[in-house]
Amino acid sequence: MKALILTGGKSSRMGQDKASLKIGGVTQLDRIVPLIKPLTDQIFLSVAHDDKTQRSLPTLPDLEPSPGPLGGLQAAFSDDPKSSWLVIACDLPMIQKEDLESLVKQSDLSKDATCFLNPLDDHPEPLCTIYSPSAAGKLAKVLEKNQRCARRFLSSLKRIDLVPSDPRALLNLNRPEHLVELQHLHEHGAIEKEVKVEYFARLSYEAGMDSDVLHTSVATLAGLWEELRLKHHFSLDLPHVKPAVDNEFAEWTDLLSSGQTIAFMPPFAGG
Amino acid sequence: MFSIQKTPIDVTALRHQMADPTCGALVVFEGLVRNHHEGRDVENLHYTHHPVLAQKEGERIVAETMKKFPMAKAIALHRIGTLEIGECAVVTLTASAHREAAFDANRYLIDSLKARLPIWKQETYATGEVEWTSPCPNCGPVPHS
Repeated sequence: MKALILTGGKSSRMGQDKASLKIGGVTQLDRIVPLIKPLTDQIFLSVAHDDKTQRSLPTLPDLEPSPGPLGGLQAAFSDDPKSSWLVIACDLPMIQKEDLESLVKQSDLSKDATCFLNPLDDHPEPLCTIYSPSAAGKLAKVLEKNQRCARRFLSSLKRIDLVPSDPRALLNLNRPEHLVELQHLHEHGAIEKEVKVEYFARLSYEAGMDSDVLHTSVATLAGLWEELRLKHHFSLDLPHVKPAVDNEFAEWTDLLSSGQTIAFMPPFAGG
Repeated sequence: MFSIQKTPIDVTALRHQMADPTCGALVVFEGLVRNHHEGRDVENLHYTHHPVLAQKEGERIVAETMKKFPMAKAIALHRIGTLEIGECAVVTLTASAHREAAFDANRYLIDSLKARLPIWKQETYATGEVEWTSPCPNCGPVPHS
């Protein structure tokens, strides 16, 4: 099996290349490579069509400019249609060695793909998936019809679906607040805390409760929100929610302490 | 002065509280419950709030308004609970020596309250459906069965 790491280019929300984001002084790329090295025969970096930068690993450029999220897999099968390909995003800071080992162990050539179900919505996650050679022809057909949605493509395949070890295993570094959370966890470790959480308006409706006392080992308010968003399947993401700590507005990157009361509030609608 | 109350708002009583011989201008804004929202017939509205934070933030906004404009007095009041069509949900009163400051201050006060007070409303429609009303275009209404 070969591996393709999607480096993604510059992220607009993060303001920089995700592969070079550091947690504990280690870039995302330097973290992920040693995890997949023992599991695969060869590792490639997926890069843009015209990217000729010298890299530490061999590259597979997209076959065309802006091919969408399936462009990497297209380039991989074009390079070697007889191999299985582990396609993985570079920014999965929570993914563990055990997750990747079980992905490889469970993969089955009689199926098109082996993947994880995203705990948030139970949909198969395309960017940490092993694609069998049988997926190559199906990919070509989908791309011919100009369908470029990676999730929809994976959903259409014959699959083995796995559940990750931790609900946060597939967390992407999509927001600066998540990077702060993970940097704190790396520096100080996971420290257990007991906090009271209050939900308001539609959030209390979606959670099915007004308040809850819970134990958590996240570091920041953003980490707590992510954990609870996965637990309660909240319809709102971080930019649309306002946090408060002990009855005062707070910032997402504020650190959590035991004994605090945390309020999560949907967009205000007074007047 | 800022307060939140469950009982109907008595605007006349509030006007009396604003009486001030140095003021030549009094602006009163009343936010009323209307019978339609985005093309649907509305039966009533139900307001909920974060009790501590809404009170604190409301007081801060009134204090800011007093500081920002040459004001004599400012009062704001928000209603919570279930309100019928035509009832007053929020009222802002601003009094100043001249009308310009009274108008500007009132606009600032009501706009800030709407944007910053942790208060939410559920609309009950004529069809019996209940939805959280949200000013944010990215979060669609959530049905409340």
